[in-house]
Amino acid sequence: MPGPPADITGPDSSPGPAGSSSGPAIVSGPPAGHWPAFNREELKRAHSGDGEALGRFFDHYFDRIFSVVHRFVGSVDAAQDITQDIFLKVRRHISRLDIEKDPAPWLYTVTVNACRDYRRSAWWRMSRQSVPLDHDPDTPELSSNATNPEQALVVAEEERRLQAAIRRLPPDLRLSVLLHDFEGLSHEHIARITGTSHAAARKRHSRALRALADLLGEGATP
Amino acid sequence: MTSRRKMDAGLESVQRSLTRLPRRAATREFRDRLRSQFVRDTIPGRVRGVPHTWWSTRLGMTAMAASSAAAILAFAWLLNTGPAWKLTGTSGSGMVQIDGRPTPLEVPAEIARRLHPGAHVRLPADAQLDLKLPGIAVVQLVGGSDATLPGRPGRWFGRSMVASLDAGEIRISTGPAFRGTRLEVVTPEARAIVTGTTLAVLRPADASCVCVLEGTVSMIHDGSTATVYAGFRRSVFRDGRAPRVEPIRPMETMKLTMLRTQAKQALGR
Repeated sequence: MPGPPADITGPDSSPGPAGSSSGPAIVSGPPAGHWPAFNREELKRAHSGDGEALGRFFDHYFDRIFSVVHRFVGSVDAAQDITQDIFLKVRRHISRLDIEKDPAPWLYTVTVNACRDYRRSAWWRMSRQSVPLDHDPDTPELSSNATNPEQALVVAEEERRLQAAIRRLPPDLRLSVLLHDFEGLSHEHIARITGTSHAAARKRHSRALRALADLLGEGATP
Repeated sequence: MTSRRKMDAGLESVQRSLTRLPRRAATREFRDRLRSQFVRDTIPGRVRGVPHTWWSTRLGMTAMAASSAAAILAFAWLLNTGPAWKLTGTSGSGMVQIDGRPTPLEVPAEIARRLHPGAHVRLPADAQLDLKLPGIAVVQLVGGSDATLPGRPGRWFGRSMVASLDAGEIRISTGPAFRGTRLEVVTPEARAIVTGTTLAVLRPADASCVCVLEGTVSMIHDGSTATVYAGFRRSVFRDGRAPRVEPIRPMETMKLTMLRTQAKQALGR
């Protein structure tokens, strides 16, 4: 189980370089390249086991962790299982956390490792073999921002196709696009989290985008 | 628009779609329960009871793959194991040395027990050992021989056998199942490569001689290979004389004919 890493000093706020000459043209990620920092004083209190601070720590990170995991596995049930594992690890190690550092990089690392571990577990294989009959977790909800029901359906269908394509990517490529484009992390930051070089992270992301484009192209073919 | 630009535009479009993906929320019930457990430090190991299995780890998978491969290899090796040499007769008296241990010729059961593929056998002057590799060959080791028995050939692979003869005589007659097997008899001067035939290899003090009753034998001496045809004997000499080819002597023809008859009965030829 990974403890709080000492070598990850904090997220690199600059998103992935745009229009690199070596890879395909890549649009910039979202402006917020990492999760917002948790209040330092609250972190100290959570570190010492204060219940209220722990609750706020949970509230601060829960939704983001859950949404990354959900996009990785594509199923609410599996995402809840993994998120539970992640918070179990976080709770066990929070007293050893370096409170002078932003815990976000460590949380990313724990999240990535949990996603990888889950993929290797028996549950992953079982969940891939069986699809619940009562609901399809891949089915997106209709967007409340859509101006009319027809547009909402189109948006939902696009999301469904994209999520299905993401699920078909190999795990490392899937993590690469999710961390860079969904979470807005820089390649350098992803390289630190996944334990690869900066160049390897960029290359992997480029491959992931191409694979995703191919998969979406396949889906569009009648 | 060039294909490169089209491709880049496609990738940009994919990337935009990714950045626009909505974030999904967990169920309220799950969130509240996990929050409460997180604060109280009571999160259970897993919600569902299927644990990580040891074989689902990379090390476990590697160990499983390695042990499976080893099991398959062991199984294939067992299946491939061919028949063992059997002692079919002895004659003469005295002690036969098997791997340096004297064994009385009058106790064939003890000789059979001690004989194994690769065993080193030294026979007294008037003795004889008859051996059979069921379906494949019969071998006669004649008195005064100092020889190493060939190994047992595999059924499908590893079908080569090597015997050595330092002194004395060895006669061989092959059976129907010999096809595909390669038997090599090595003497100090030469190597006889048998690929299906009836022959004798003789090793007097200063020469090696291959007598062929039927089929052909390749004889390698001083780096060159010569074929010895049925009805002929080829001798090579230790002192550097030129090899000699001549018809098989009547006595050797008779002995080999007897061995061939014996082989037909024993091997079903």
